Amino acid sequence: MTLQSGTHNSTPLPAGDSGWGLAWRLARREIRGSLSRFRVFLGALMLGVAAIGTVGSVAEAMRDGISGNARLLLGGDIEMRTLYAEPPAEVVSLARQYGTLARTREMRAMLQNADERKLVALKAVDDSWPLVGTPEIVGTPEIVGTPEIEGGASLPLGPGTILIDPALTRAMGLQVGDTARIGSYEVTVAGILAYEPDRSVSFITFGPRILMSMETLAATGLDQPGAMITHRLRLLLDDQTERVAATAALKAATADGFVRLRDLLDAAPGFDVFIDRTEVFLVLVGLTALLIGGLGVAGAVRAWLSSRMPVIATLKCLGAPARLIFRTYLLQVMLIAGAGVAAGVVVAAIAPIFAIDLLSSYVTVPITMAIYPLPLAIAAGFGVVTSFLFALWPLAKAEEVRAANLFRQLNSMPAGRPRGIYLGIAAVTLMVLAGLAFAATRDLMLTASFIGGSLAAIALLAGLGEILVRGLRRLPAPRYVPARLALSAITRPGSPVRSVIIAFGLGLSVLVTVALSQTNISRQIDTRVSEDAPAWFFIDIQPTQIDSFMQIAEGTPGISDVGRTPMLRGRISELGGRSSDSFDMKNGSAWVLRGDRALTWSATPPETGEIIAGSWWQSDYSGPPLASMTAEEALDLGVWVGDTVVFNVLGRRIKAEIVNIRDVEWESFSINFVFVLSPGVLEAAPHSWMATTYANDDAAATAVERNVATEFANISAISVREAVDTAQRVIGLLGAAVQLTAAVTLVAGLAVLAGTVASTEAQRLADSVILKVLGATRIAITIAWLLEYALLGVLAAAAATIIGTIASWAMIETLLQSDFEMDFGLVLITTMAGAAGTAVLGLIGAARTLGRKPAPLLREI
Amino acid sequence: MHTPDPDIGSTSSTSSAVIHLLEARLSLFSADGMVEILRGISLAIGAGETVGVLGPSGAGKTSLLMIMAGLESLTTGRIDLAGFDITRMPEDSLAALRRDHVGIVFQAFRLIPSMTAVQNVAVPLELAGRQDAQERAAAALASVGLDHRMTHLPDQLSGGEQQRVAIARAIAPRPRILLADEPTGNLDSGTSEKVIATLFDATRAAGAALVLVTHDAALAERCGRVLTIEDGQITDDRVTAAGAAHQ
Repeated sequence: MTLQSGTHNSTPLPAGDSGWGLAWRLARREIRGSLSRFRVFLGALMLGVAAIGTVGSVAEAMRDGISGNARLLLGGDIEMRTLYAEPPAEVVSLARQYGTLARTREMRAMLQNADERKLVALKAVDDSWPLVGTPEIVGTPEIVGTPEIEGGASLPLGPGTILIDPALTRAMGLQVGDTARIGSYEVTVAGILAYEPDRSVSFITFGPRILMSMETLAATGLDQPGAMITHRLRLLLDDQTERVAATAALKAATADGFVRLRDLLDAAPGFDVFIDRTEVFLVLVGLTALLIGGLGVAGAVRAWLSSRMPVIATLKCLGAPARLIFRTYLLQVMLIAGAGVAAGVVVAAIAPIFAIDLLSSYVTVPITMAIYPLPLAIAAGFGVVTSFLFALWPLAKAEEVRAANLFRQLNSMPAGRPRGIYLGIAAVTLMVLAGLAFAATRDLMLTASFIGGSLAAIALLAGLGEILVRGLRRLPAPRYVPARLALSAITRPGSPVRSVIIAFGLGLSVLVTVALSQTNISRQIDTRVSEDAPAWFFIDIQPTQIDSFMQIAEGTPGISDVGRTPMLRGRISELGGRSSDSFDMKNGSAWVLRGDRALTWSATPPETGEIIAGSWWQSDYSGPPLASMTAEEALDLGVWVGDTVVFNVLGRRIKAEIVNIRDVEWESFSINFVFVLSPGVLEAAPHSWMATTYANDDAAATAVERNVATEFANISAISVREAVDTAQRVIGLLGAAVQLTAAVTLVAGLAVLAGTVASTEAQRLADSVILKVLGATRIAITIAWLLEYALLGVLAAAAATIIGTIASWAMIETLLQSDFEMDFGLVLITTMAGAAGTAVLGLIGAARTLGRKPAPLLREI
Repeated sequence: MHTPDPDIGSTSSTSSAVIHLLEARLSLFSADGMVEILRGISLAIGAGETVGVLGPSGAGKTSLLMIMAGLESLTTGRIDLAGFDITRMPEDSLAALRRDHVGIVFQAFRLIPSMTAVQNVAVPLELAGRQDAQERAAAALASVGLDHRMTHLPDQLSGGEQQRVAIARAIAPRPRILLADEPTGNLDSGTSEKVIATLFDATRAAGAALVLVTHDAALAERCGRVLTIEDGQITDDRVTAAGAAHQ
């Protein structure tokens, strides 16, 4: 039999209508009843979007709060700050031409009440303070005058009276009317300072505030040459139109660098960076959650599309082209994603009200809540793009569903990679996601590191998962039937084990890393404190007092060693030929350039710290200034031996050549300075000494502090134990912040687990029905599933333990250059918790399937 | 026995044929290796012809139907459908060909559960971009006696009603070929009779060729021609009494 080709037509027919209009009509009809299958997807998406949107909104609100309240935060229109000495008279008189001035002096001091002494942040103010805002003072009218004062009215700070931070009433039991000593002077508590308008915005302070008048400060005797006193001169302009001119004139007058000038644009300098960094960190936490939740999205979409396979095949049978299938289901996914994103945006618009309420106890920035469209738009963008990215693969595979499936009972989605065009779309989508991440973080390196790190971690976990699964496949089948079922469920082709290992593994890896690192760091600090750390740092020792101080300290029984070093502070105005202002303030060592830096000088190299480049100067050197710099900071800031550094000390410009680099262990608790200068440069400047005392026991430590305090009222003592406690607290806070990441990623992991349970529901149902028919009890099936999920959890935890331990080891051994010690108990707890959590949650998800009766389902199978 | 014409295209009796198969072979991979499902089938089915396909389970009846629907590609041989050589036609073109020329009725109805009866029937018309899709779908439903069930969802209809909706969906685009795979396999005998009557009426009204795969020899005898397939080959091809009477 032959066919005449001439009578036949093999020209491809025009493909069917695959337009968006028809896809939309079909999607609208098809979406009925689908929403319930997307609860987890919706939840994960809503949480991620809400988290990112909330963080962005709160950060914007804070920035608005700072710019909107800049005058309040700055305490005026312009602030001029100097260390050790008042701003020069010509600057003061120039400033006075533009408006009203207020002066303050700030320093650390010891407040003594009976036998108790506490380091406090002393602030002395003149009669004009505050220029802006109203302090809140709680006190007894007889002593204070009026408990509530109006802005501009005189403060109730007569001679010999102080206002104290509420913290001091708790720490020292001080109440209004009580007396205490500062320096050699007795003062009376006139009130409790509940709110101080121009207090620096910061989470960390060096002791609670006490407020006094300039006269009282003078009477304390603390205001001595070389004492580290910060002088602030604030200017409130008479005429706001003169702001630019006044700022320019004062900038010109203070160009030598001794006076630091800030205006309204720079009202909360460090805090701006803090907000930026916190925002970036939290946005990345939210993005991590979204990315891991994305695996859940993929699982949910795949499960949903599997259930729609007969419909897809029917549509194809009726003539629907592949593109129409893709569009129809894409529209449905994006409609559902849109609902999740919209819910997330609504939450993000409302949540900051509560977040700000929570933050208000820590941050003194007045924050007004509003709706900030940009962060909400970015969060929504993240939600939409992530959903699209993770739904793309299963959607692309859906269009490959064959119409022939209608004649054969094929239940699984087509395997393999989607068509090249979809891989291309996925790559472009990933780039859009990276672009959004950049828009949110404004940090290219960080964004690239985050995306690269996430992909690397996922690849590592996927690889480990594969190795573990292959290992399991080699195991002999257990005799116990539920165990055999569990093992085969995990090792069978197409098992969701990889998704679960990646999703849970990421969160658990972070947890293990943080827990191991924190344990190691805390152990290091405790060991160092007990072995190497001094009991006290004494500061503000006058040059005339140092010899007597040494006699008293060394003469105290039980004191094993006393170290001393001269010190003064100066600003680094240039480094390596570049102005300090031109450095990236997000650089890890930018702190060196940001504030006033402690400086010292020495003829001989410090006892601690190895010189790794260059050489120390001769002990009798008396030539042009030379400097020694610490290695880590030099590397970070891009300078080395041969470069120059310019200091500004009390208005004097000192240029020194860096001649050697020291490798310093900052965590050693010995006195270390970033810069040590050659002798003959700083000695003539007003300076003070600082000293360390090492005690054999607590009694000796207490005694030396008491002896020094009795003799020298102006010397402040900083307890190393307290400093270490603070450090431990900060480490704890950092750990908690990172653990937050882990917690969020674990919650996102739950979404993946739920998606996994959903995607295997049909298979599980069929299995359970067959098993029931064959005589398996519900208990036996339950045990099999419990074992399956517990094994999944153990695999994820095992992968996480390996990655977490390596990460922590690398951090401790290389970054902190310390010895890593494995904590097996901790790892065991993490692993067991991961396994138990996965088992229970997986079983809860699968429980619904267990209750189904076999008979009706058998007819369908 | 009805002998297939060796040169279908050149004979007047088959010049109106809508399905041509020439040495059609289909092999599929299985766990045991390559399995030959259809072994060189040559066949011509004319416009308006009704053909019953009989054979034991696994003989290749459904595979033959899938080949005729363009849902499965031949391993070797050639197939023409409605004047088009579809042997190597791209998938989307095949889908368009089905949309315009082939109606399919399944044993399991295969209605889209989320769509109403009229929406189900309208799908192929909408796919063809017809503006009057809803009207024609409603008319098709009325022609199978379901004008009172237009807005019902499939799970609100009886099995017989669902199959009648499926028939309406198959005939609504006025196809040249109607393929039915055990259309009464899921129905009781009373309902089956109604459905079959509907199917034959609809086929006749549309002037389409009908290929009906069934296990029911009596049902096959109601067609004009019966093919028997065993082990992937046509072992019998004859005109039935009904067919003879019609001629």
